Amino acid sequence: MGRSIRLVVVALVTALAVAACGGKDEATEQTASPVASSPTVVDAGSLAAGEKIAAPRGEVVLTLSGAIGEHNKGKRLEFDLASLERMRRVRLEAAEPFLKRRVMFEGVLLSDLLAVAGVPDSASKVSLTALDDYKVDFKVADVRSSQMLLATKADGKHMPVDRSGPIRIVFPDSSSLGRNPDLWIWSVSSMKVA
Amino acid sequence: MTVDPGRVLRRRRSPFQFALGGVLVALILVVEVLILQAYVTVNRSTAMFGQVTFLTGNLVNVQREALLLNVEIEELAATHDLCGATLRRGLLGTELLVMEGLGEDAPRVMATVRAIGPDLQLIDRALRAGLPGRPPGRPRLPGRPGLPLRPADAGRGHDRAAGQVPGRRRVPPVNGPAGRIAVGIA
Repeated sequence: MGRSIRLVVVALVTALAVAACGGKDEATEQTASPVASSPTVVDAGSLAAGEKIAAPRGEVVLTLSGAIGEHNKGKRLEFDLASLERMRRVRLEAAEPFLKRRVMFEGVLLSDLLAVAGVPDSASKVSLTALDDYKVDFKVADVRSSQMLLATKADGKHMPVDRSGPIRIVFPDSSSLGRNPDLWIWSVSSMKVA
Repeated sequence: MTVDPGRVLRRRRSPFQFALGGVLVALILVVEVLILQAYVTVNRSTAMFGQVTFLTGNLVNVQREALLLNVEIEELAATHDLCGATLRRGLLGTELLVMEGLGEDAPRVMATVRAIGPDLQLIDRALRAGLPGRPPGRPRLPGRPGLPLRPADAGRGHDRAAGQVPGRRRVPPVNGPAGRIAVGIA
């Protein structure tokens, strides 16, 4: 009887070992993702929170509206690329989920943009709309904590509209939000804070 | 007479019983292996389904952008709005870029994307050349000729052209599994 029990135990252990081998592919896939990167500051910038933002001279690439403290055109706050890039700029290497390769992005942290725009602590939601009318909502708390980037450059170059530009949202590898490709909104044109 | 119960049990085990035990163990192993095989197959199918769904969704988006570009080009003679057409061409370019990224494992997708290249070059050349006698267009972004930003009123006419209710926006569900698909089929 003891020998049979031993046999059953050995069989179960073997089955478990086989099961572990069966899941190996998936485990390898999970760990194959590159080392997580974090944003590094490339330029401290001259535009900080609390400063007056002049009306843009160039083409407007982003319009903020809703619960914002700063305005430069009626109740809206408009940015061209030059005024966006006057803010603190950071660089971030991230795994682009659509191109399936790593891209070096450069731009401003969305949390910095909210600070510059004077978004109050009571704000709860940011709605981003793209040029193709695609829309994504983020919680303000997530924006402030996740280091998501409003990228203006990819691999050192400005992005034209046919390359997901002129501005797009990028997530660091460590961000849990970034695992959802639907949130990687490209060609962002406006933001509404509520 | 007293009998040792252990001895009685030992005496009762026959080779047939051992064989049955062995068969039992073998059956357990076979069932485990079959379950694992089924799991691996389902896993693979799920991954393939996800990939194909994403690809199909992007195909829908490409179709949508191509249709809207077509509408813009057809309306050019009346509207002289090169900005709208160029913008649509840019958005179509991004969707094709995404298709290229998805199509690495699908040679037919890559071949199709490459095949439409010459047609797109024709459109690009025509857009760059502009329309003879057209009114001056809106300012364009420095360093990005031919890719102006969205005009303030862009989209309204497109929605109507695509059979949508005017004023109703394409809003995909947040965190939805196929937000980009919703852009195309809303």
